Amino acid sequence: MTQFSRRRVLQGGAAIAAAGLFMPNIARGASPKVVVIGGGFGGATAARHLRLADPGIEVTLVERTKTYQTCPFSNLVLGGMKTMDQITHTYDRLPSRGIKVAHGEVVAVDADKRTVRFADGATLPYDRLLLSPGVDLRYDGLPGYSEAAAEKMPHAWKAGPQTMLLKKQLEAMPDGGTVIIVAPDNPFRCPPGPYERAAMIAHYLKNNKPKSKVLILDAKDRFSKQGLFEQAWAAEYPGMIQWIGKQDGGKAKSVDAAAMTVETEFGKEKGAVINVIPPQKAGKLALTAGVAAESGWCPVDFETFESKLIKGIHVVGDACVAAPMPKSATAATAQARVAAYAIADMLRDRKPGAPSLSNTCYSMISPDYGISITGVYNAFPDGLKEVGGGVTPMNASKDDHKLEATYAYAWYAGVTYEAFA
Amino acid sequence: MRRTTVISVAVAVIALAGTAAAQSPTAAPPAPAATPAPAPAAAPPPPKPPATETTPANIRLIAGNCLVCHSESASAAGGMPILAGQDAKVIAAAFREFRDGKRHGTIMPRISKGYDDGVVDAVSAYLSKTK
Repeated sequence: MTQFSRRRVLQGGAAIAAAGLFMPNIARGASPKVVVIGGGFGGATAARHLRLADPGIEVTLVERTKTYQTCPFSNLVLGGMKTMDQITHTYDRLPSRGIKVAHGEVVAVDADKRTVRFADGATLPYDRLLLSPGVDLRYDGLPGYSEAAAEKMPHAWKAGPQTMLLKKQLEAMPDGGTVIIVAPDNPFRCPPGPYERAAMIAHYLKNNKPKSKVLILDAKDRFSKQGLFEQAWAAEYPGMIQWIGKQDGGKAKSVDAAAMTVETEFGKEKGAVINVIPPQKAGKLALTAGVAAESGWCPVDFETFESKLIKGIHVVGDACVAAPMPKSATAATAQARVAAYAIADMLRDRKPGAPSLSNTCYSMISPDYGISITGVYNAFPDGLKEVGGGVTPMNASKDDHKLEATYAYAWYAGVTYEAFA
Repeated sequence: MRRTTVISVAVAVIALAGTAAAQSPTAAPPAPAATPAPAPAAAPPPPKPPATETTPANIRLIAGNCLVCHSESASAAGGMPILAGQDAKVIAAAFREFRDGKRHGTIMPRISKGYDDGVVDAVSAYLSKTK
């Protein structure tokens, strides 16, 4: 089944070898090998499309964990609209798509020899490497915050135990308490996420602890879908959610996990529950591979999502620098498809073209109230540019907000199906 | 495996569609020759449609974006129309209506602003051949 591509692959391998970059396995007659590390939306979707692009490519998806809890809809778990089980996915069905799944932790990448090394010493060769490292939290980005402090002031910015911790804290807090959300400056994973979270927490509180409030202390002056969120909060949770931007003193200067306080320039705010969403950077894997720049994020070429720092390594998803695309699951999957088909082209010595990408982010306000932002992006020589899209119109009808909530569920079903089913 | 075969066929079909599209200057906006020069007080003209490649590779990528929400699994969860296998003319007409403000929608009127007619026709043809 690989005969059709073998010759082209050989030519491609020869060309690359001639350039002195590496001695490819494909030159020895084996199938080209692509290793994908990181089994989130970017990695899992890329693995699928690499196989669709060329069944002759041997694709191995490397992931540390056996299950994956999605950040999308994890706020709905806080709001009581979804269970953790409903946002938990496995890699069990990927082998039926011809994807090899390897569970393990990659501790080193040798870009010259084109191998990755696991914690147990085993190595895996690749012709092209695709990383979807996600984000790591910068615990050094906010004085007083740390991995230990996160056990008292959860970030819940990676879905899983942290989400459940925050949920349990909400369930344990007294009625009349204040839930503080500390929101970071840009760029960070899921720009509308803190504000959807405020709505979902308010949804829980409205039904269970109606005298309680949500206070968002923000390190920036504007946020994604701001007008829509403010309109929606007022409509669904009147008087319950207060947002304080940077110019009004909302930026957290430090946190104190023992005292359960957040310090701003106007003093200390005490919270019954404090959700600290710290600044972020590309996941550690990006650092391991050497594809993260000083900014902490990974610069890439937008036609291929190949690293601008190390050839042969592609980076998709939240870890890469793809502004104006937001760091979202949908964006990661669009980037994953671009990277997958580009890699298939490059392995056949064909030049990829200029791609079109798109993004859709739904935010849930209540079970019947959704809002969204969309964007269409084309790759130009000087970067990605938004050529279409926009946010839900202000003052959209109740019916439209209900439809958007319905479509949010459809989106979730579709995007998780493509990645994991 | 079967899916891959089907998609290969679809790609071949789109290669033709892409060629056809490439023969007409679809990436360019309609010729403004008949339009008189705008008066100084007139509103600025709408922004020029973006130059989107109509290569088979890019049409496949764009269709991939559509199919995240317009898939069978998504449709089962949220009543979303399934696009794969639909009549290309029907898909293209609906898309143009969204884009041109003739049809009410939620996110489609916004997304559709990013694609010109050549892309719409080629993506619609691709989707109609997709299983």
